[in-house]
Amino acid sequence: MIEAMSRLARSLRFQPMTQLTTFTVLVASFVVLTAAILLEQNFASFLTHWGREVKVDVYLRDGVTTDATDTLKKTIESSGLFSEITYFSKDQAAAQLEKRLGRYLPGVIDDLGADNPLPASFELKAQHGIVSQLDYEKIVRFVKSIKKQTGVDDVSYGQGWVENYASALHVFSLSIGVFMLVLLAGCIFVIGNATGNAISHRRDEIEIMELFGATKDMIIGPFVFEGVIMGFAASVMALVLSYVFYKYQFDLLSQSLSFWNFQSAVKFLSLSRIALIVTIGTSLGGVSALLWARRIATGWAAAEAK
Amino acid sequence: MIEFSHAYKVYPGTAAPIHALKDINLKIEKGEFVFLTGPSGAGKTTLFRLLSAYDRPTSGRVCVSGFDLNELKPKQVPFFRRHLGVVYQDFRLLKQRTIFENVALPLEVRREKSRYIKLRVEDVLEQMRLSHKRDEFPSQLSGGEQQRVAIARALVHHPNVLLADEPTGNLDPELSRDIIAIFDKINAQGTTVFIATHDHELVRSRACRTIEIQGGAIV
Repeated sequence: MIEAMSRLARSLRFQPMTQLTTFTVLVASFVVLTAAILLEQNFASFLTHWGREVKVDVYLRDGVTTDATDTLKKTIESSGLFSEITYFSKDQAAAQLEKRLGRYLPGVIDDLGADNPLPASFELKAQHGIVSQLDYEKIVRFVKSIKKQTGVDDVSYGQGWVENYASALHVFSLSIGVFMLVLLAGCIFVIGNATGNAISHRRDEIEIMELFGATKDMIIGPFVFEGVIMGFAASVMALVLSYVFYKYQFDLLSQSLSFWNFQSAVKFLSLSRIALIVTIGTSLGGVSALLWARRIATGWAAAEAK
Repeated sequence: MIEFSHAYKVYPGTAAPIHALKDINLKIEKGEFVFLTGPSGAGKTTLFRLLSAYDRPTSGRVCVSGFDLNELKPKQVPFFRRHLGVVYQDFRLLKQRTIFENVALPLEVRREKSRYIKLRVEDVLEQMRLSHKRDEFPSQLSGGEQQRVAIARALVHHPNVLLADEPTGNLDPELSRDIIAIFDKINAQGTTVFIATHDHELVRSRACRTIEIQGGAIV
């Protein structure tokens, strides 16, 4: 550890420009990564807000028995998908219609007389809304199965809107995922390349260490340590910069978008996501340094390579 | 201590294979002081590469300090090298390390305790009359001083065998005599010393065993 620290100090002293360039590129990459995660988190919470509004209406056939209605209610409850299950009888449906349209079409219900065409129904509020493709698939499965139940005439859940919403959510999550993977691959290349440069620069040192009996692990270890420190420092610095930028933009946007309740809708990364970014940065540093160091060191350890 | 039996080394050349060493048979006992002489390209460096396990013989056997280098597994090579001390003509000091750090390197590799490293390095630097230079960098030292640092580094871990490849090649005659005097002291402490040189004057001035190599063969 002490040896690795002193080698890191030497590396900073004798290759300041290489180290600074690598650090800057990494910080910039991690800032973009943080921004992507921040965007994903807030956009997802924004979409979730819409997804929570999803309601399913189960319309019943005329003349459905009380037993069949009770059985249906139990089936809906047992699915565990809904937080609110409200039953509307034919009369309640008519009363609701009267309440909504009575002002514009007075006496519309009275005109129907005893021949009330409105069906009895269950109005269901999705427990977690639709915040992922999985939620969407669960709702669709439920709708298909409930349609087959005795007494069910039709089921409506705003199919067109929900389908579009679910596919938008899916495409967004997928794009962010792919983008992050590309960015992480770029980071591996940057750190690996810096390690490669450092190894070339210290070729003499490595050869002499080999000459005096250093094992491969002893030679590679300090490079991996450097990668770990570099990844850790760059991810922490990126988080600090992102937070400063977020605070600055937050103050500006909360003034111009105050009508949209911006302050409560947009949040900085949670502690778990901050920890995730630092962990990714640190491990990425170590792993990419290890990949490059292992590859290059075998070329010089002539005797070991045989 | 050092034994070559029917050792050959052939490198693949562009036109024809290069026979760098031919049927080398050689035995050096513990505590001996031996010169290896011969013109440039005679095979001295190849012989030293085989001795330090940087290369393997194409055929034949090489044994050093109880290790049969033909049987040595790749993972054992670093541990074998810890029994050697090596000095080069071009010193091979690390420019970014101080004199103290350069000399401490073999002990760091052996994971010695820092207290021991400090004591041992200071002791060796004092023997080499370099204590006052401990915090300087190699570029701040003269050629003779740099070679003394290289010798200090080769000795610091008490090697069984000290190999020196043209250790006086870059030094003037007076400094060369100083360096050889240091090797004498080391040898007197029981270390086997094997020096490759093409400086016949230096060899003639000393009464010790000399092996001559020409065209890859011992003559």
